[in-house]
Amino acid sequence: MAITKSGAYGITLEKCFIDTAGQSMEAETHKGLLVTDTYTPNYDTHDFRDDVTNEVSGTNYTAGGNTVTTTVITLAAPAAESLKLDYDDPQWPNSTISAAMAHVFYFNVGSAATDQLVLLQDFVTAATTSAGLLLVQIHADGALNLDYA
Amino acid sequence: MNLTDEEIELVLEWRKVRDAFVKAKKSRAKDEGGYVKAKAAVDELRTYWRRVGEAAGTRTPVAPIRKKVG
Repeated sequence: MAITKSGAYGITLEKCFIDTAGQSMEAETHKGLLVTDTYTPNYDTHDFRDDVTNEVSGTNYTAGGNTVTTTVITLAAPAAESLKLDYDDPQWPNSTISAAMAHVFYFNVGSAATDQLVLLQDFVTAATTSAGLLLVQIHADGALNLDYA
Repeated sequence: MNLTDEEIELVLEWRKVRDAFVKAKKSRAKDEGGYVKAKAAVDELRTYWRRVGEAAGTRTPVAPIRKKVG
């Protein structure tokens, strides 16, 4: 198995809708990590960071990834009747990382067993750096769009 | 990385808008209007420069996740 598509983790979405996640999607404490293609996401059952396997490692990469900044929820974007989740491009400068295939955005609650998975973005083509910048370029339309009509 | 004066100006402008938004988030309970305004500014600026980069071919973004819920 492997990463075959981007997706949002259903259990955390459900918790957001029923007000049991205890997190604001716009908080500035969330984090994102990188995984290789060996991780197989299950968007129905994976809920916490300890479900994620095959995180990358390397120079200037810390396990658990780094903080995702300037998170924004915007309504009527990128088009009418759509909600957009967006944040700054995650980046790992001067890093040596091999075969990163996806970025996993999660609520940084405090431990792998409690950090809640939000979404995974599939790079489609693996990214490798050698003492260089690994930059995850978020689309102008944001990381996640929910069309509500 | 060497930036031109124009690029430095853009970076400083972005930081100013971003910092204002992060600050507005913290004081949202006291100033909802300021939060809404700061959020619109950060979204507009970031989206604008991303579209410029994508149109110029200098950005190769990850496709957004699109879900229909309505």
